[in-house]
Amino acid sequence: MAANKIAELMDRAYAERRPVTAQFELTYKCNLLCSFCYNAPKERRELDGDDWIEALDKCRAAGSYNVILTGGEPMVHRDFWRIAGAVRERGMVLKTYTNGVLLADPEKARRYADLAPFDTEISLHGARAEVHDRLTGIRGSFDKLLVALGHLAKLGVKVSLKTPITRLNQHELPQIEALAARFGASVTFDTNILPTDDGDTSPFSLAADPDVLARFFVEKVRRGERTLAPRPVDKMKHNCGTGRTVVTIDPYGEVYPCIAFRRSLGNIREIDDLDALWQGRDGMRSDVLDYVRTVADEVPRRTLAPREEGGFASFCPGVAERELGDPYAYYDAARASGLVKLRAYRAVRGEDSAAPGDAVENEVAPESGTA
Amino acid sequence: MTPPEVGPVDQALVYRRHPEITLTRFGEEGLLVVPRAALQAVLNGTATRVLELVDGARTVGEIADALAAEYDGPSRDELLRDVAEILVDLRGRGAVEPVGADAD
Repeated sequence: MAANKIAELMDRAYAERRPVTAQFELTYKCNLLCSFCYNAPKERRELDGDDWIEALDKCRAAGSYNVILTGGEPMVHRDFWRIAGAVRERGMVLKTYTNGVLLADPEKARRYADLAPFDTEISLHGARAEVHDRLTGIRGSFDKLLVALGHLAKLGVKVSLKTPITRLNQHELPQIEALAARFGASVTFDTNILPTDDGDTSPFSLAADPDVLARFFVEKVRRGERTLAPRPVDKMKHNCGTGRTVVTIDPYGEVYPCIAFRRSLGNIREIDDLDALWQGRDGMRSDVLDYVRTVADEVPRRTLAPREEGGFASFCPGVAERELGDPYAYYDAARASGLVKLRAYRAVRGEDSAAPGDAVENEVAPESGTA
Repeated sequence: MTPPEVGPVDQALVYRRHPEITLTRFGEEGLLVVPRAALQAVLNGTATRVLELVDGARTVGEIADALAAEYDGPSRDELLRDVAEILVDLRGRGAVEPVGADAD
């Protein structure tokens, strides 16, 4: 199957330590005020378009082909169009993580569509303006988002909506799905609420009710919309691609092994050869890369396998380090994500009479990331 | 996969790559991405090389000649057939399009 062959290429990239995906946090500026935003802006000069295009060429030379422009809100960067255009001119794949508000402007939507992005991930926080706008902190952001989705649908731009499940939207998940279907967009529900990049845990006050989440997963399995099965953590060779298949650069040029592990490898403006650094050639061995790669390899055995729900837990060692100072520490959100899905899994298989949903027969298949 | 239908091979045909696609090498293989179709596909070594040789100027015959110079084994006629089949398949995926007045 095509998906398996692509997975084989990604396994190869992993083995070769090829940073196939470059995530560029173009700016921490944003036109919304989301209460759970994980960004931690600093008083430093952000990279301009020339800096980003140089960074792009260094990533490309290191093996990147897939570029994600994110932020903050990437489209508020003064040079967003030039940077996005440079990605495409170099024959690289463009993905954008945006709040979509600026794409309510039909000219911007058309200009964006002309770039032929591969995917556009847009955050949707509710099926109603009252909920969405409450979380974004900006009245009118929901209405603008719907206008943007209409433009993008007409222009044939593939949109993936992403909804972090919170206590504010947990009872309107089917309505969110219906809204996505109206625009021909897919929707992924994210059950993880994370601390900010500087360790602030206040976003946790928005965490959803575990009973509601478990019922949600059971219903999706019963409708055949997803499968639920534990990852084989006792056989997994690694937890994630940190320091191998992904590289992240923040608005100030600091290079990180991924979006979550905030241990800088140096500043991209001062790194002449990112490939040499990544591969540890020419005397450029990085202790940070060695460390995070070891962590990624050890997490399944050390953190996940000892836990009954470990095969279902969404665990990020970068988040563990931010929250608890230890990349192997099993933080509460990871435990909660695992327990909710384990509970739903048992309910679906009829193994737990106290769990939500009726007992049904379902095939067991590998789980794929978020809901 | 069912091989695409290929009639008599027109060696003079020229193809160009669709400007929006990306092709990324992974050793011998290539990952083709066609954004507007939201398509990702892994191409084998020969298909990857054919797509790399498509430049809007080379004819099908010239692409077969280039492969014949690079590969030991298959005859030029076999390679020509392979090239034609590959190009029909790539066209079906939206990766290439024929150029010129005689193109169908």
